[in-house]
Amino acid sequence: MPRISSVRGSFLGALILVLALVAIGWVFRFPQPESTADSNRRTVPATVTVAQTASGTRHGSSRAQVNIRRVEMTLSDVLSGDPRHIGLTNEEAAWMRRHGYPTNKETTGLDTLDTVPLRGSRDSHLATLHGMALATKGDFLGAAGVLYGATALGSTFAYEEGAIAEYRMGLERFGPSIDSDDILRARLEIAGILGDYTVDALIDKYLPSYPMHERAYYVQRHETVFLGKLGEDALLRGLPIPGPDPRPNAKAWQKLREDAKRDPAARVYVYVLE
Amino acid sequence: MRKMTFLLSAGLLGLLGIAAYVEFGSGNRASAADPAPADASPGLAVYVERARQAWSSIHSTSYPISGRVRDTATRSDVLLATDPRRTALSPAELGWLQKHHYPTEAELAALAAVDPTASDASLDPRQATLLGLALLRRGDGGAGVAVLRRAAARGSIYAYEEAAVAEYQQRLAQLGPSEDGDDVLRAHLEVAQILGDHQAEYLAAKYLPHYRQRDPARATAMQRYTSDFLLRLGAEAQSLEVPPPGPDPRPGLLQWQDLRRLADAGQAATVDVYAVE
Repeated sequence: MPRISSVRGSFLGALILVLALVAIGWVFRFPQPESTADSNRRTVPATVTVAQTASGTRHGSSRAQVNIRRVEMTLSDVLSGDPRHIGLTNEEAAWMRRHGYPTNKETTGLDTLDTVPLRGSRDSHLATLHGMALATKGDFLGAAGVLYGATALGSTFAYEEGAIAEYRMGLERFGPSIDSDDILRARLEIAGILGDYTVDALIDKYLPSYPMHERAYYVQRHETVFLGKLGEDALLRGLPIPGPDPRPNAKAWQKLREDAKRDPAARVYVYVLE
Repeated sequence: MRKMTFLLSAGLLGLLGIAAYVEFGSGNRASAADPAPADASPGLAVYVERARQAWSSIHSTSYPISGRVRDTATRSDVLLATDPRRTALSPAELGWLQKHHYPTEAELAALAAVDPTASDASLDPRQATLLGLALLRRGDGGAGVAVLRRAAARGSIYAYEEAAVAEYQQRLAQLGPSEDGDDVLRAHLEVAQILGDHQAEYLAAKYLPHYRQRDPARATAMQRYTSDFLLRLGAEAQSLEVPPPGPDPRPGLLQWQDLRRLADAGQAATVDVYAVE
């Protein structure tokens, strides 16, 4: 039997050491970033703890840490922004919190948000932020999937954002079409059925000249099917089935719009999440 | 020195082996380089069977049945000639009927014994549904519809359907036929379908056989009413402080569609119908 020299033995030992370290490193390798745009990442919002990102909750939200703040604004300022983020009473803001509406702070800087810790979260709030971040980065397909998942977890806001992401994906890939418009209109109607009448602002923004009278039949067909899917999705996930939960103050908003026509500089107290 | 090199090499080889096992041998992770397992391409039929089993498992946990189940062989043409809403073609469908408070034959037969002075607030949704039906049968339409609507907000889809039909008939008797009355009933039945009952179609075919659903004016009205009625259901649930009823698809849609296709072709089959003893 040939004898192995000490030099060759050392070389063999070193080679095996290198191979073993490479193999161990491979096994415990770190997860890859979700997108190349993640290179300059922001961490998960301060309202979210690491424990929550890791496990989340089976069905629920980390929103207990989100506060409601009363601020004074002019009527024109209230109506010039996205009304979905504004409550006219404390109860309305509580409804927003219950249905996964993010704070203004959370919606800024989504393009640099590190989405990796948010993957697979079973927390409606975190899943909503995950989907919104993907949409901001241009991944509309991924965003729609994540946001509809967040809807099953209880976030009405996620359903609205999922509808927009899906619509933008269709526009990007296939260009404008009446079918895409029908689908978006049906999805936004569903958000209204789930309770959020402020979704009208999205209809005005994305479908300002939609011929609802001629297309109502198709919209209703889509609504019935999409609502059924929402129920099936919840069943498959073993979650409570979402149903209509009207947002408070529908009439107060109508009055506010009328008041704004007369005196847009008038000031009111509103309630926001922070 | 050689002994140390040998021991070091053996130790590291062991580590390499453990790492290789964790990565490739434990079965926890898939790798693109892994050879395909023998059943990697099992064919569509296997996936369909797996999906059927998955749904069956979901249904059995979502719709548990209380009571002893019996099945009876029935001809499909006989089945389709009557109101199919309380008929189950599978145990899962029977469980769904129970969950949404569809009354049994025995309960309907005993409606005369229901105390009409009872307050529905003290009753569970099933008993409230029976109270509402009993009030309708005694001719107290207003109270019957109100009780049925509250039972609907607490999850009774059957109560929702019966309230819609009763309201339609009351309006018909008082004001005569109208397009608006038809729109309202069609929208209520659409809500029942959205809540899950594909058999609500039976009521649409019975009461509104000539409804022009594709007419833009009818479609617009129906769409608006449908959204409105769903929101009203949510508001009612809020006021009763119960979770709002949401879409919960009734199992068996494809089975029922097959039976109707058979009937359209002038044929019939014998099927099992499930009920609780």
